[in-house]
Amino acid sequence: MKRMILIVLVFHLWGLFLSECQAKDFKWAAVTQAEWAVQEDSARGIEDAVYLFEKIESDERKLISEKCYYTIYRRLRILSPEGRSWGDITIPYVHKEQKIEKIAARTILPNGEIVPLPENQIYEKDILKSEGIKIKQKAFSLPRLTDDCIIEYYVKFFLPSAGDQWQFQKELHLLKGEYLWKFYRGYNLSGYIYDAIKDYYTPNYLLLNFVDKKMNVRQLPSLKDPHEVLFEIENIPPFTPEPFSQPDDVLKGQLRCYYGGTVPPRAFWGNLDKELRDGFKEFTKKNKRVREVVKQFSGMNDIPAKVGRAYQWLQQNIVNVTYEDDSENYKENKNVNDVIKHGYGTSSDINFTFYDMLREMGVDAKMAYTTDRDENILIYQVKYWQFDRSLVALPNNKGQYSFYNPGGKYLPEGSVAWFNEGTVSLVVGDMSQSFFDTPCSPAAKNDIRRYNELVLSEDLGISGKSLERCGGHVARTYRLNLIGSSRDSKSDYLSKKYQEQYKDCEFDSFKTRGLNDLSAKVAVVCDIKFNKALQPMGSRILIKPCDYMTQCENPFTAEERKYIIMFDYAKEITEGVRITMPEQWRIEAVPVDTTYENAIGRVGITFKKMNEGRMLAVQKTFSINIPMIKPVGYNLVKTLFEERQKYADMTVVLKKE
Amino acid sequence: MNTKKLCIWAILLFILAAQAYSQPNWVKVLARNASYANAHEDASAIILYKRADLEISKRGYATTHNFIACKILDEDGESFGILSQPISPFLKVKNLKGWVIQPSGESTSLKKNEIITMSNEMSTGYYDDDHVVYAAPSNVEPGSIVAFEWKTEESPYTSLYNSFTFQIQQPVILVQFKVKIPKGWTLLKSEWNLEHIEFSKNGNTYRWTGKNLPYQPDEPLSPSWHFLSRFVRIACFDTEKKDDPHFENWRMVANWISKIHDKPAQPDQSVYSKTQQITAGLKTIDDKLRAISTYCQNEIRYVAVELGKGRWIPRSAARTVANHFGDCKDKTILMRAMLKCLGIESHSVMANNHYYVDPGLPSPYQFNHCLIAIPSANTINRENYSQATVAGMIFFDPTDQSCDIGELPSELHGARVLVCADHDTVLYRLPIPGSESTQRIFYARVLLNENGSFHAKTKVREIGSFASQARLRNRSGSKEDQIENWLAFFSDHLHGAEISNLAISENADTMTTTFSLGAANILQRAGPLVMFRPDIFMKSLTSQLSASKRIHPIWMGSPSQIKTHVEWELPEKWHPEVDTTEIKNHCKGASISSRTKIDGNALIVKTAHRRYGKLMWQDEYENARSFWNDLNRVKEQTAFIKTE
Repeated sequence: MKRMILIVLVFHLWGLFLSECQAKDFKWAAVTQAEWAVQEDSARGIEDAVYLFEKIESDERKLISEKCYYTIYRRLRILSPEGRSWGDITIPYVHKEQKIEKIAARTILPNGEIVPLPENQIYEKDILKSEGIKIKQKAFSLPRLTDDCIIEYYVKFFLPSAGDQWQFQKELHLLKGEYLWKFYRGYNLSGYIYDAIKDYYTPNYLLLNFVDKKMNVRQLPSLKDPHEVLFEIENIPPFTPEPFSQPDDVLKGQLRCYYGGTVPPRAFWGNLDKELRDGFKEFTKKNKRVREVVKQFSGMNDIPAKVGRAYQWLQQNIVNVTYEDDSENYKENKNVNDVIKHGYGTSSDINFTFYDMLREMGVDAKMAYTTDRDENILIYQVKYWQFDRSLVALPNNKGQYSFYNPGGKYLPEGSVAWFNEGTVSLVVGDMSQSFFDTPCSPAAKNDIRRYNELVLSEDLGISGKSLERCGGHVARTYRLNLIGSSRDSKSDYLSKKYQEQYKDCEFDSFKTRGLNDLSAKVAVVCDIKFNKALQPMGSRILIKPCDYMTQCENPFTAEERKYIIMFDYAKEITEGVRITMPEQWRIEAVPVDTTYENAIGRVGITFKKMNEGRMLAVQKTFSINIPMIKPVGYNLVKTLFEERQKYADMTVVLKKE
Repeated sequence: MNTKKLCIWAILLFILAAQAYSQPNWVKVLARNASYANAHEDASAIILYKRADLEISKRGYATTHNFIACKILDEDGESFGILSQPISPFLKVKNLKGWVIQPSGESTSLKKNEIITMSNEMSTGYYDDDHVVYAAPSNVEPGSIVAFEWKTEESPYTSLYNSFTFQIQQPVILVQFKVKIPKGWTLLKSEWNLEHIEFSKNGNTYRWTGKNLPYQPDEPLSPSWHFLSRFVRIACFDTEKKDDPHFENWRMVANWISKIHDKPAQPDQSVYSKTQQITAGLKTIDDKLRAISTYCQNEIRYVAVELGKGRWIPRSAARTVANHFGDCKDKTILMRAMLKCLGIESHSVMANNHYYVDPGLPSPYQFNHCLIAIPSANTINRENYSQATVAGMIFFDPTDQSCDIGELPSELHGARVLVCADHDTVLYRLPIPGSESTQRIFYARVLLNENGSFHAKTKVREIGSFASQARLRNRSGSKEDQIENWLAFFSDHLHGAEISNLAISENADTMTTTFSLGAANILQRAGPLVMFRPDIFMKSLTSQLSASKRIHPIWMGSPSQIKTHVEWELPEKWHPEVDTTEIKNHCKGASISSRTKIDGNALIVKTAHRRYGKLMWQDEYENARSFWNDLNRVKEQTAFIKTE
């Protein structure tokens, strides 16, 4: 019993000691007059609330022992009733892996009164729980909030790994930001070992997306022997997302801190190039089966023919497990022989095999790596692995490379997925330079043609047949979603897609053609019925022909643009609609034809009265020549979309005979 | 342990594992017969079997054995392959098992990593301990049959109130709800749309069974799916024992709530001081009442702490004053305490702002919201509160920031509410304002130029709920926000509209907004014809009544009235024509009247569209269709000018 009491007492004292230590750990900063003077300023994006400061400390001194501390200290000024919602704070964390060691928060009223957050008003709950993972959350609401108070909170996390990124651009304006990086300096390693790994464990950092802003960087306690680095930045406007952009996390102002080599980027990529080549050698060393396969193509002299055969052989004979639901059930391939022996492989395995086949046939193929631009962009200065995908590169006669991706399901030869077009690829083993542009497919290759052959019935309902033919990336999307699906699933998919594209319609009897022939266009045919009947206005009927085509919107209504405009790919869309009128109705008047063209693309619409006014034929075209456009070209994009939008209301008048 | 014993253990373990992973008989039987189950072409899934056996123990614990099996028909139906079961500190899930049977006959069991528990509410400033258990087998696809079996155990706090939904939209082959209560107990039930469900009672066991319930189509202008669904709610109690929670009648419910609400509503010094501070200098009781209601509504931020029994028990008024935040019951309690400081006794009122409250089922669990009732005898200008007064009590919702005292949010119009006093009480029905009390009146004088550009001087007067919403927008948003709102209003039918000179004024229950409206081109040209829609405030209809038959009732909206009056001055020598100068139609749910007057190059259009807040039944469908056609004609009314 005595022992029990002793243990309880020790724990109690230990708790007191700890809480005392934690209290000493942190002190609230004094509130300045300048902070109270901050007002709403819509020109600077200061509305409802503002971050007066954010101070982050990432303590990675014991990184090797997986003991890192990450503290956040934020102070905000509330400026309006809407701003009060910033007083509700939630802090999610991964249970067991991460720990919240301390939370402190308080409200400071304009009269100087301080209202601390009572500890019993910090609420904890599980937000997600499944086998092997639990995400919890601590949350609180600051007390006594007014429309003109200051709030501040401090959170200290215990983490097993380093916090590698500081996103200082936020939803609110940030007046002052600080990031103190207490980096790893060899804790728990002998001097000898640390010296040996130092070249790979040197602190590196890079400021992204705010290169025009001055960031103060101070190495402390001295430049000569730094233990920590303090980054300071001021006046960061809030982040405003824009449509057709890269992901927000790519665009926001951020600081990346990581451990890497001391060498400059050029040398880093050079070293990586060498390491990768060694890896390829290993994977292609045992390639007896590859040699056997390429023997089949030995009669071919023409390089494009050899490339084409190898590409086709892989797509026809190797199952791509990356696209299988149960990919984890397949045994790993150790080399290219395994890929052919097993008859399956991941996308990378297939690309490696293609690379090896080409080299066996004497074609100077190279492996290449690139990013998916819908998720990520490559930053040359950041010295770590950033790639999402492998490709195979073949030199072309323009001194550049053509890229292949047989590991991409249903990609025709010489194509890459749309999200790899326009990216920068690392071509491994190129002696002149490491990085090359991955070209974009031309608009004509990604063509879509839609024709609706419709009849206006006596009761003024509209229905008929719809035909769509498409190539390039559009066709691939159909193939990825439809090949291997049952008839019902195909109908479901197409019906849902068409419902999204058309206004208030019903579709039936879907048929597809050309799905399995990658060189062919994909065609979709169906019955189409528009639910909204036309309404006569006395002796007239008004028809807006664009109501019977796929619906378009103009997402570019903002006056200005900050970020690059990113479409999926260049494309050409031609839509036609032909409507046969009922007996007693004739076309009285049609709008005039119109076109508009600029460097970005082209739009146009034509109207034809046929069969003495018993039939109407309308054709609308829209093309985008470039998928990625710098903000300087925004007005061209805006005008193109505005012109297209005008077509929506163009009206044809029918008259009763 | 010898080899023999090891073998026996191994066999036992194998049997246990096999039992856990193989399907039970009910699933096998369903799988065999499911291929015969045909459904409506629009159905996404067929509910083959749904059953809940609920048993209440003498100590008030509720155990429910649940079964459900669905056949997935299309990709939309894959959501029916996910089980979601709410849980709380009072309700636990036990022995959750699931199976997926593919059309090939291949069958798999639910894996542990396919079960996820997630918080029910993720928004900031809302702290609760409700979760949802999701069971989502990964291999569900059209053609699959998905079946789940699980138990729930509920503790006495909430266990004596339960509900069961027989059908929402998808077809159901067999559905059953069975309730067994202890001997000597009483069961109260509230049934909704159960005309095709058989009910039987055997001793203390109650059973509802439905067979072959057809698919419910998604029809335009239908009431909510909650209104159309078939469900039963039950409550039970030990007839002999009168311990809490025991709800035999509404008085017991009111007493129970009043018991947990009255103590926190006692003001302390901090509440007295705050009341004095916000009512200082105000002379009349009405002014003081307004100041207190505004304080509780706007200064006390909505933050809900609904943990454990805290979802029913409010925090003390003093705590809410200290925190400056609270949920609906905290705001109500604070307002009651502040009124007490002025010598006014008031009551907490329970309401449901989403669903209908059945007067035949006394239970606090029918409610999800709390308001306040103040005896109107205390006030001077009682007519100011008439829209929110019932039986001598002014009802006020301190959570809804759009309504001043004397107004009620539209979701509470006509709602049944319980005044929680320790004396006799009944459910009261809150007033439903008529269409005259909820109006939006548009007026514009428009000058049209030959190039299609126009300029309009516009005035919008809003009354009732429209005014409440406008007031909230005006108080919480900037002028730029208001302009954005109005531009969004015109965006569908008036492309490229621009707004300037916006001014807003509040006058009692009326909001008036004036602005200049213009656009570069409002005209459409086809050959020699120039066209425009003269009623710039009318938006096109988004739904059509085109089907020849109707299954569900038709709902044209809550009582309200929209009037427009637009006067056009066209370029000289432009003589407009319209197909009809007068359109009138009315049905039980709504009416429309529109008149167009043309005088030389002047055109005036006046329209009034009233909604009566009345359901129309299937036999009134033709009237509804005819009305809807004429409404469409009014909205699409076009003026033509021949320019050659």
